Formats: sequence, structure tokens, C-alpha cells
Amino acid sequence: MAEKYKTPEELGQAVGLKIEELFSTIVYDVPSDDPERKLTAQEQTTGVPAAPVPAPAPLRNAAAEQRPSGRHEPQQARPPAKSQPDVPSGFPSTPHPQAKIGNSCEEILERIEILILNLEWEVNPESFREVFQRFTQLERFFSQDQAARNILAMNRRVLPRFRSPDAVPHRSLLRLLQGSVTALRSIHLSQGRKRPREELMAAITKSYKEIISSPPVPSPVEGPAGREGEQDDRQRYTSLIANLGGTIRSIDEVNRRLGRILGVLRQGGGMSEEEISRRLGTLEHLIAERVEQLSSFYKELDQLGAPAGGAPAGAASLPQEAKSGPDGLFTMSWEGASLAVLSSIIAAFYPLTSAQAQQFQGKPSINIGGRPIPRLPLKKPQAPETGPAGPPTWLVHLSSDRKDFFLLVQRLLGYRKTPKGVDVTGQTRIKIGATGYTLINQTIIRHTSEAARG
Amino acid sequence: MAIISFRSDEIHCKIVYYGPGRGGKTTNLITIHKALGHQVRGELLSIDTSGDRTLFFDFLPMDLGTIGKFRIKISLYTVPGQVRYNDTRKLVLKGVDGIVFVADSLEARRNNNIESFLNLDDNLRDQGKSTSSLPLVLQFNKRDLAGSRVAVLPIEEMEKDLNPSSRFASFPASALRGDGVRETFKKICMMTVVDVSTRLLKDKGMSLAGPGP
Repeated sequence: MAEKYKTPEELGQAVGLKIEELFSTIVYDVPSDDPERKLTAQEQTTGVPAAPVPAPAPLRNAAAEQRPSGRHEPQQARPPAKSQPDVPSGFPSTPHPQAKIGNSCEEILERIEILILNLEWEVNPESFREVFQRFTQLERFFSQDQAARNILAMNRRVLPRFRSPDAVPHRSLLRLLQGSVTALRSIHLSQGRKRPREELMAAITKSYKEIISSPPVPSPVEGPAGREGEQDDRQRYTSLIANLGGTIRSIDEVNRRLGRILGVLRQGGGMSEEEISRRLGTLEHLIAERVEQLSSFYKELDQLGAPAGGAPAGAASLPQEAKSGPDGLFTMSWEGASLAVLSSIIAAFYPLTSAQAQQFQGKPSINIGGRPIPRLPLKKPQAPETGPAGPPTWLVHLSSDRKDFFLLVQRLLGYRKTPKGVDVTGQTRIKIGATGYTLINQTIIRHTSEAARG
Repeated sequence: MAIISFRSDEIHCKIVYYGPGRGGKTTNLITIHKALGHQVRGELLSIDTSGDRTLFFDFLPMDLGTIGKFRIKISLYTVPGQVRYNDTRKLVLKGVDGIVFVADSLEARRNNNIESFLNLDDNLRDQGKSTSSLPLVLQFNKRDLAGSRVAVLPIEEMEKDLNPSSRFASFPASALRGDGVRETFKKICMMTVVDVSTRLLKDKGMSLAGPGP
């Protein structure tokens, strides 16, 4: 064998044959009466008859004359049908420009699977939009099945979060989508007689809860006129936070790739030194680039300060006074106690849905803006001052000196500007009118943070 | 750059799928990845971040097995097509042995094709190479849209834009359907292996059959 390919041209020719062989071995000829094969990918997705793609022989092959390899192209004349790779109907990098929803349930599920595969590779809002569309379209097949309807509802609630161009996919999203398709297919195939496996349903619900419990992905927020400066700052802050999150995820991704390379090496996998250095070099470059980005984001954040309104989408806007210093108190009802929180330590308010409230209630920490924020460990009052505590309706993000906590409150009661000359930073209680309030200020945050450290 | 290791009888080549954003480069790789069996393809590295498209690169290592006395290994890469990621493109192009330029047949993307091709040449020149010094295959992707309501460039027009002197081999394709992907891939692999072995063996003055007796 060693003497068989003595020239580069012969070697090139052999490589060509090998590729043909490799592609051919995994190809099966589809019978001409296969109905699925009769439809082209474009017909399946657009309903527009696809133009035949010309036989894939080279259009111009001047290079073939110039380059030695061109002299050996016996396989080029093979009928394309025989060498068609066994590829599903399509892997669009984006949905087809004229994508039209298909008809059968199986066809739609298959399309979703393709989109999921695509999302594993390239994340883009168009794909999310199409997945959403397809799930909506599936509703008519499952109108009688409660489990399927639940699955569809979960997906419909989750997917709009990822439709903005800046959206960052949640790590549980693909699990949710894949699980949903599997479960829906199983329900469809059994014609509703068989429920999906409990573990599968539990996994879907878990993924859903994980996604829904994380704050929505930041996106530009429309604000009232006249607060453009504040809005700009907030958007800049939001965008920086999103960038930071993305960068951290990139580093995490690189880290996992490094782990895989190490895994291959530890198992004695065949990887040449050149390949190792190429892979590691690229990853090193990526890390360096990301670290540089992180430094630049850090500088920007430092210049920007910590705007009180720097909240992700969905956060309520703060009054203008709240930004200008420690001169206001937000009053709120927490677990039957009345709290007064200094406006300067409030980073954001998030209204909570009942599902979110339930989800967050027992959590010692939650993710806000891509980082874990611990709960402010307040002691519940033995005798509620404001009546029985219901479920929380607001999440309050507190931040002071880069120490962050969250608080779930039942009600927001109001806002009061601190009278001039009154120092609220050194007090623990304050009385406004007839009501006494427990004060939450920088001192509490600092002490809590120190206590948590050690 | 390519390596020929006589000790382990291996030839490694690096092929990069280049082209404008959303032209179908990654789709090409997905199709190849799906089409080839596990024994050939390696693990696909696709780093997507920040909810954006291919920000860094997709990487598909392939082991074509032993041909003659050599084990041929090919690494396929794609680059992010978006204009702003030129640094990443430069990085991925480092040490490239062969290029597939995936052009988008949509009429609306005509300028993007030309711009991307010029960008390729610029980036290669930074490495002391050029489109004429490396094996390069053109792929006119999304041909399945011809005849639909979307305006598609005629092949002749694309040739005129990107291949006026007919220097490069070119293939019509629909990466979405898998049409033309194999042909493009086969052509670039052949050209690259020939080019790499010719170049390196010439430098070393050795033959592919191994050192002489």
C-alpha cells in the first residue's frame, strides 16, 4: 500500500474516492415512491415548488486545470441522487424566508426538532420565533389532551423571552424543547391514550421552572418621555450586565471545551501536538479576548456607577428622587412587618407572577442579571403588624457597596421623601405617621454581608 | 498550517468555510457532520455565545482513515460571517490550507458576498497568502430558492462577481438540502491534500511512499 500513492495527485485522487465512499456508505437510496422524498425541503417548508438545484458538477473548473487534483475527477459524473447524503430535510441557519407552517403533527414536530438542532449550533431570534410559531400550530392537535396542552403552554410562556436579538438562551432551554418534542410525539403516536413518562414530564417541568424563575433577559425598555437620560443610563447598564453575562458564559464554554480536550488526552486519545497546540491556542486567544472584554466592561461599569434604575426589563422604574441620593424611603409590607427601605440601596423592583413568587419563596439565593444574589436574612416578626402575610408580589433587589441582596415583599406601600435634617442611615426604626417601620439601610446591608462572610 | 508527520504517517489539513454572515457555512458543516459516520467525524466544537450567531467558530475534526500509508486528518472550521468579527476570522484563518467560500445566492446579499471575498483576500494577505496561492472552492449556496419569490442571483452573475477569471472551481448548492455539499467538500479536500503534500514534500524532498531505501 505504501507504494500505491507516490504522487500528491494520486493521494488527492484517493482522498476524493475515500470521501465518496464515506458519504456513500451512510446513504441509502430512497425508494421513488417514498412520499416524504417527493417533497423538497423548500416545498416542505415554504409550499413553493423548489427549483431543481443543478447537478453539482463544478460550474467552472479552471482550477482543476491549474491544480493537479483537477486531473482526477472520475466520481464527479456520478448521478447526484445516488450520492445524496442522508440528511434530514434541512438545517436552516435561519428559517426559510417564506417559511410556511406545515400540515401534519409529525411534520411540525420534525421541523421543531430541526430548529432545535439548529439552535444547538447557532442561536438566533428567528429560530426562536419559528419554534414558537410551530408550537402554537401544534395546539390544534392536542386540544383534548391536558398534558400536551400544559407542555405547549410552558413553551409558549418561555419562548418569547428569547426572541429579542440580545437574548441569551437559558441553559435549560434546549432540554425543555427536546423533552417537549419527545413527550408530544409520544402523546400523538398513542393518540392520547398514553401519557408521557413521568420522569420526562418532571424534567420538562423542572426545565420550565428553571427558566421562568430566572429574571427575563434584558431588552430595551420603553420608558416614559422626559426621562431619556435615565433611560439611556439604565439601558447602558442593562446592556453591560447582559454583555458581562455573555462573556462569563463564553469563558464557561471555553472552560468546558478545555475540559473535553483534557478528557481526550487523559484517555490517551490520538491528538497530535500540533492539533493540541492549535486547539489550546485558539481557546487561549478566546479567553484572553474575553478577559479583555471583562476588563473593559468593568471600567465602563465603574464609570457609570451603579444606577438605581439599572434594572433589567420588567423592573419598575424608580422615581427621579430615588436616583439622587439617600433621600427617600420606600415603605413595604414584608411577612406582616412594615419595612422602610432607603431608596439609595434599591437597585430594582420586579413584579412577580404567582408562579415566580412560589418559585422564589424558598430560595436562599436567586440569579439576577446573571449572578446569584442571596436573600436578605431578616427575622420574621412573631406578631404580624400588618395582618397575615400573603404570597409575595414584588421582588426587591437591594444593593449597596457592591453587596447585593433580594427581598420578597407582599405589598409596596408607598414612597416618602426623607425630611431634611433627618439622618436615617444610623437608625433601625422610623415612625411615619402612626406606623412604625423597620429601617433597611446601608448599615443593615453591610452588617448582614459581614455576618454572612464570617 | 498543514502537517505531515512521517513518524506517525499522518497528514493534517485545515480547511475553512468562509463567507458572508448567514450564507450557510455552518449549515454546510452540520450537513457534513450528519452525513459522515461516527468513525470519521470527531466531536463538533461549536461555540456560540451571548445569543448571537457563530461568534467564534465551528470546528469539525475528521479522520478520513488510512489512505496508502498515510492517515489523513482534516479539520473543518467556519468563521463568523458578521463584519464585526474580523479578528476572529483572522485567527481562524491562521494556518489555513484550503478555503471554501460559501456565497449567498440571494440577490440582496450580493454586496455581502463581494465584501466578504475582499475581506478574505485582505485577511490572507496579512498572513502572506492570497486567494490565488491557496486551494479555494466557491460554493453558490441557496440555489433551491431559484424559482421562488425570493430574488436569486444567476450563477453567471455570481461568477462574474467572485470568479471573473474562472480561477476557482465552483459548485451550486443547497446546504439546507445537502445538495452540492459533498461535491464542494470532496473537491476542496482533494485540492488541499494535493497542495499540502506537493508543497511540503517538495520542501522536504521526500516522496509519499516514504523515505527511499
